[in-house]
Amino acid sequence: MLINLNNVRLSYADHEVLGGISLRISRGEKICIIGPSGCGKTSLLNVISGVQKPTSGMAFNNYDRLSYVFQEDRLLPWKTVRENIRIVNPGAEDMEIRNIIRLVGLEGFENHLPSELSGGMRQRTSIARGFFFPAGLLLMDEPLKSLDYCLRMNLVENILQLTGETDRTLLYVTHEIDEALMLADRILVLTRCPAIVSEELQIHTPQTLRDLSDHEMTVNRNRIIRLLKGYHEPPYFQSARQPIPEKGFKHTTVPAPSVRSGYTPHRHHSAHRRSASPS
Amino acid sequence: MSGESKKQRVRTFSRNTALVLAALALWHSASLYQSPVILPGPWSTLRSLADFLRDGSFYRELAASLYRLLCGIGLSTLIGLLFGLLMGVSRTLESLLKPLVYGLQNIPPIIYMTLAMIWFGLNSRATIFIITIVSFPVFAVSIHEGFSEIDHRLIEMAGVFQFPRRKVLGTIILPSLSGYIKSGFIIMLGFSWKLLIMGEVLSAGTGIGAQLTDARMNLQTEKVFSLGIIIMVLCSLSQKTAELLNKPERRKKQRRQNAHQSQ
Repeated sequence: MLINLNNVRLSYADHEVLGGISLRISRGEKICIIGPSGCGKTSLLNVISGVQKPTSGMAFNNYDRLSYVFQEDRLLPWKTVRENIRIVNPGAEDMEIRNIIRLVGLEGFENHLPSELSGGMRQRTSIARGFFFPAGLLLMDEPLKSLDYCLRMNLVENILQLTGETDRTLLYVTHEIDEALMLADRILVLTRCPAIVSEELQIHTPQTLRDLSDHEMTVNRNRIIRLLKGYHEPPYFQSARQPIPEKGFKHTTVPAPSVRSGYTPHRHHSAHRRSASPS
Repeated sequence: MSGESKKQRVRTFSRNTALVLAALALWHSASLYQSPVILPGPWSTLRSLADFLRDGSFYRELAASLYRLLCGIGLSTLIGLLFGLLMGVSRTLESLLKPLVYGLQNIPPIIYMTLAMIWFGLNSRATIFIITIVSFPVFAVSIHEGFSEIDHRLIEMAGVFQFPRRKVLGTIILPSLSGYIKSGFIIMLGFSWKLLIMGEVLSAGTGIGAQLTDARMNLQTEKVFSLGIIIMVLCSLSQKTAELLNKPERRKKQRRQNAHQSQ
């Protein structure tokens, strides 16, 4: 057991952010935390990483070091891509750096400064740096927040390639359903603040075979959308044509579809992905 | 495009030349109505300038002055950097050192000069002392102000990736401060030249300042004028040299800006 949270609560002054979260994470798991914006996802990450002490409850962790990919790239502006990656692990071989730069698709840009790159490329550098730091646990706090959909899915593939190379534990916070569906073994859906885990979804298809348009993904996506929509303020829905049926969704579990059903081999076909996008 | 800018350059040049000539003419005609002790003309100033430059012993004096200047600048750079960094890095040290450094800045240099003459006597050390004590707070304050520019998210990043302290200083703090260090240094350089001359006039038997004292004693006003010109040229030259150190950084910045615009 790498991380064990038992009924963890966290409040700032009178404002309760986390309202009793229990969570067990084993080594090597890829976990996505999804929830409405401002629900306390980052706070949960801080409790897990030990940066913040919970107000009550027990938080136990058992890892030596952790790595972090931030919302912003946080690269050193005066260092090149290669130097920015090397700096977190100075003892590494040149081969390893070349390899990770290749995996995030930045070949040919090794000697560019961050200001000479696009936002997506900077974030790739930041992701490569997060993976290059030798740590058992990798936390990612909405690392693709400011990027457009195609670029995000592109980077998700990069992240998948990088996680495929290691067996480290990944904790990924996002509010984008498709990112979570592509990356996670397990998706935790949080409620509005004070957040509790309203549902845990297991994704059974192996990451390398996932397609956003297949049956399991569609079922899970619809489920998460319903959960999340339920947590928004009512005025948000006044424009919606049809009210979303709420009952029956909170506590039932849909049996996970088998791996084969609805599986399409063309997972790189962008038309599939675009039609599958909820946005 | 280039022809136009060339034309413009010619125009600027001729306008400046005309201005200088007009000023020289004004100076010359004014000097006709005054005794050469009060206002020497441009010709006699130029002649005494040539005399200085032809005279081998003048370069010995110049070398003595430059030695004091370099000692003073070296010391104030070291002390200023140390104080500036200490004030930026630690809150406690900031509260201790800030009143001292800002207070030292407000004391008139002539008070230090008086003290220096009492403490060190009439020699090089007095001059080096006042250059150091007056210049280093300027440098330290400039560096201290630079700390507000440091991106704290980068420091947080360094914490996550467990950078040792020395690495944080070398890869985040100093590069963030580089602009402030350079501009502070150039300002300090200008200060140092003026303090050098004042110190030498009051305390030393050698150096450009001593030449100035000689000229005053002998009522050779044209020498005072020509020494003024020499100091002005040397001071601007040294500041231009220091700015050259700034150049690669500026070029990099330019490249960065271009990269942003092309996006």
